[in-house]
Amino acid sequence: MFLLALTCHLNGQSSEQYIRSTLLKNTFDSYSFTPAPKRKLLDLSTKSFLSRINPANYLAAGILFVYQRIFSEQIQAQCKYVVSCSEYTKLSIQHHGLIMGSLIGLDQLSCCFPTVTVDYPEYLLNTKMQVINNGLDE
Amino acid sequence: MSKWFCGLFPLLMLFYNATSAQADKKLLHYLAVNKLWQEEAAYLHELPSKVPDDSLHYFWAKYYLQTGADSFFLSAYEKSKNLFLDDTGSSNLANIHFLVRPAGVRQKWFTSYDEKKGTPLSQSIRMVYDASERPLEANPQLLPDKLEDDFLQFRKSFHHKAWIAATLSAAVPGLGKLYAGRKASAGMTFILNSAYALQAYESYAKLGPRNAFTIYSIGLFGLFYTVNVYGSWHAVKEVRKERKTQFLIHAEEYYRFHYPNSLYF
Repeated sequence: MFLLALTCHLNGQSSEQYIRSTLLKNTFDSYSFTPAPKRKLLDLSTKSFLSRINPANYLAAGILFVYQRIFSEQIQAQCKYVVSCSEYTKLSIQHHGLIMGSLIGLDQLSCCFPTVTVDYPEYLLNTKMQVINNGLDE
Repeated sequence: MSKWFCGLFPLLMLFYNATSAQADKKLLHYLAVNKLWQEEAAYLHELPSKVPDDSLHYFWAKYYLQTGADSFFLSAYEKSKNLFLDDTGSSNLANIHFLVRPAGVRQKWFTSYDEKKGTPLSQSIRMVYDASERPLEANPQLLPDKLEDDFLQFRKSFHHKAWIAATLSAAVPGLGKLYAGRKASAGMTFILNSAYALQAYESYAKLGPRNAFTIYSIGLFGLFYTVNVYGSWHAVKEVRKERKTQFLIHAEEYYRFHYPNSLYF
């Protein structure tokens, strides 16, 4: 009986807390500010020795860094892809190397316009009508 | 309701342990329907002394199937294969579930699945899986009517060759993407390349070949032209994957909607 009473009391407390937190969330959620995620530098630590001493890689890293930290925020760039073109280029360079990675990134950039969504099946589009370009499993 | 249940669960377990000697399917069904995974796992941990080993693995397989832990499911399924395959509802659900899982796990499941005990539904799902793996050998008329269009679209993408797309794009920028099935991208690529080509031509005609702006314009055009050729080659392969996934997603939705199965009844 004591256990039952204790359980009921705890359940009552937690439901009151739940109502309070839901009320606060519903009232103030629309005013909350979520800062943009911090973008990292092009990471070459896992690449070969030749890649790490190649100055072209550092030039690409520098260009992408300046674009993402200065220009992208100033022009409030709105990409049609979930992983933005600059971020995708950076990831492609990390994964495929400078030449292939740049080609893949620039290919996405040349297709980044509002009506590109008609080219993709519905499972690749999110609720904001952006193309999910990082979810393919094969 | 579920909060009350969570609170009273330890008491219920005390009472239950004293009275029962077998797994209670109704209780498991209740826990599964209400998505009380922790409680279900706690209940299954209590079982070992009461049920035989293969039954225990059978219940764990069902649990992992619901929670989407594919590798654990496959390992538990291997240990209770006969019991699991006799349960048509569960094996059908597993078949449907694995249609949309990552390629490696999907292949592992369908190769380990024993067709001899299959129902017409599981044979139909198997046919869909085979069609997704070998689209050129499959007969679309044997598939469910509602999946036929998706399958034909998917099969059409297999007739497209990446090198033809690249060659077409080299001849006319954007044509390769049109061939691959990306109409909007094809138009944009054509406009973009035309604009860069015109800019390069105009600066060459007006400023001469040694001017810095001419060199820059020609370089930019060359870069985007190369990107267009590579992009078309890449698009053919991407479209193939996308249509396959789309076909499998539609198949999964079709079977879930038209053949509802339950794990416990």
